[in-house]
Amino acid sequence: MVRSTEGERAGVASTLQVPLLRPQSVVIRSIWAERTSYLFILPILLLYVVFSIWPIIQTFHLSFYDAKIIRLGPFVGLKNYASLLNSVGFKQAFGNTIVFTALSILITLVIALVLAVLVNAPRVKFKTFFKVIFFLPVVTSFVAAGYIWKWMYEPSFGVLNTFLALFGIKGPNWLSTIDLALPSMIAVNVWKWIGYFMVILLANLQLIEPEYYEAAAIDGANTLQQFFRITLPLLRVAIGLCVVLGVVNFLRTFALVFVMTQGGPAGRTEVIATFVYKEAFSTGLLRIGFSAAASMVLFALIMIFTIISNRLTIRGE
Amino acid sequence: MRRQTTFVSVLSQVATYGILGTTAFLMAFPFYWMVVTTLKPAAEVYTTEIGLIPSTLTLFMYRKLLSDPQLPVVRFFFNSAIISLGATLVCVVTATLAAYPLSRRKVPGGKLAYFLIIATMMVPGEVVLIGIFMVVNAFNMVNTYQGMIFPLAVNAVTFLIIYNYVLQLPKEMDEAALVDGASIWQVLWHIIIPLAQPAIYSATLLAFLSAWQNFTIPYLLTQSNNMYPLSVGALFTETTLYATMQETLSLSTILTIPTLLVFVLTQRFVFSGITTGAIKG
Repeated sequence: MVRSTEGERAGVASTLQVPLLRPQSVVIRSIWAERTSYLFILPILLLYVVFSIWPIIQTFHLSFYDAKIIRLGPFVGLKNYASLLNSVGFKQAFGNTIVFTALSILITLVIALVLAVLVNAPRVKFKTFFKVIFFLPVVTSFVAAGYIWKWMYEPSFGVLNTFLALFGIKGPNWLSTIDLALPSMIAVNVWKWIGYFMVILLANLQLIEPEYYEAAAIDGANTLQQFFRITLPLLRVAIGLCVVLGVVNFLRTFALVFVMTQGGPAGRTEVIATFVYKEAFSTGLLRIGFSAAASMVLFALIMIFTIISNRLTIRGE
Repeated sequence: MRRQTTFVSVLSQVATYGILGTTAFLMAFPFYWMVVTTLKPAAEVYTTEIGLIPSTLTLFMYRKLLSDPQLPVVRFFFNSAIISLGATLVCVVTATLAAYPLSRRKVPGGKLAYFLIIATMMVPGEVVLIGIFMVVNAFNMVNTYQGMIFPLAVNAVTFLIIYNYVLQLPKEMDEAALVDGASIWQVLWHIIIPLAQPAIYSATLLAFLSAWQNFTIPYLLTQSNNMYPLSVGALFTETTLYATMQETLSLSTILTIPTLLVFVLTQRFVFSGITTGAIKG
């Protein structure tokens, strides 16, 4: 670090010789010494601030105005947030989003955990094969995933109902039945994410020293006890990471709804992100300020749950 | 006693492979079903028979799609490629440049820059639909490639992968070079980038896979079908052109194959990218 040591040395020397020199000049020198570094950091900062941080500030700002498309309109304080509380559509979307996220995380986590433990078992062969197969849905677009499943769920020709018919069961209309639409979508989401969770859990399982299990086996602990006493506690951080991933990715669900149900039947699969899109761009009302407020609720949810799950698991370590 | 344990262990082996095999079948079946549906004659698709194995295979659907003047499928594919490759390039170059000074040099304000980059993980596109539309509109970039490439290039996970990898490289090499009078640029180009190649490769793959799959950003920012990528094109086909399920699934197949292929060929790097992010981050 030629330049910075020069800078530091010069800084130290000058403070020694001129005691009145303000300490800020040392800071300025160390900043100047790193000028090339700033040049390297600048592009990513510009990109992320302009296309991610600035949009959220903009959304936050708009949420206090009665904004229509490009006109800012009058400042209305918290009125948009109050209207959200009175909006039946928003409350339904909010509830659906929470149920969708919570159930998706729970089910995906349990299945992924079982699969990771099984694949990790010492005598299991074809580990890579299983990992690759389980991961295929992860690298599939939600649009394609949505259409594949929409076709499989199709009531008269879909493979699911024709399969059930073999046993004399008349399958329901999965995506149009009030109480089945959301669970059917959760199933697709679980299918899409199992592989991701499983790969993370497996990588962390492989870090656990086999001596722990050997010692436990000598003490007479059976497989189930070993799982709950050794495996699960040591996977706490990895499980926490999966929960955070689930929170960030499931709360923002968008494409799946547009492709599979458009929010129906009777709003049973509407989520916050699709509610925002419809209110802002496709109902013709163009209630930008109102839907910006709904976006902020979604952002607050993501932030709060990310921080909570971080505190509970990763920090607690 | 010994015979009993072997019996139990054989049983547990069978159960293990049984569960894994069944799950693998359930995970992979939807892909088989999608592809097979697009290759069947229509009469075998819209029927209450299950028909796991089609009697004949035909490329009729794909020929029909490619010759449909209302549906520029080749253009969709081309758009997908430009958008996702462009986003990948911008994403990986900016991340690599910043990862070196932020992880290994004492840059005043570096912590703040790192925090801002990581904070964007909590602001996915779906959360700031309106804000992104406003910003891109302000730059007059709605319905352009660059208008989609920049928002899609924001991908803090790829930055973290490179950052974490560079962070744990041995300090001796670049410090020795700096003492010998090498510039920061030379250290990055001749030492850090060659050493961080596996991480850069993983980050590139993950950036490409996520940009190619994205639906929200192009759905929000395109206004004419000559700018649609495949993901938006598939929805357009179904909702505007009232295409049959077979046509929509054929587009979905074209949308799916590139990422599946890239993943299967490079799975080692995809997994290592995900787990380095996962174990450290």
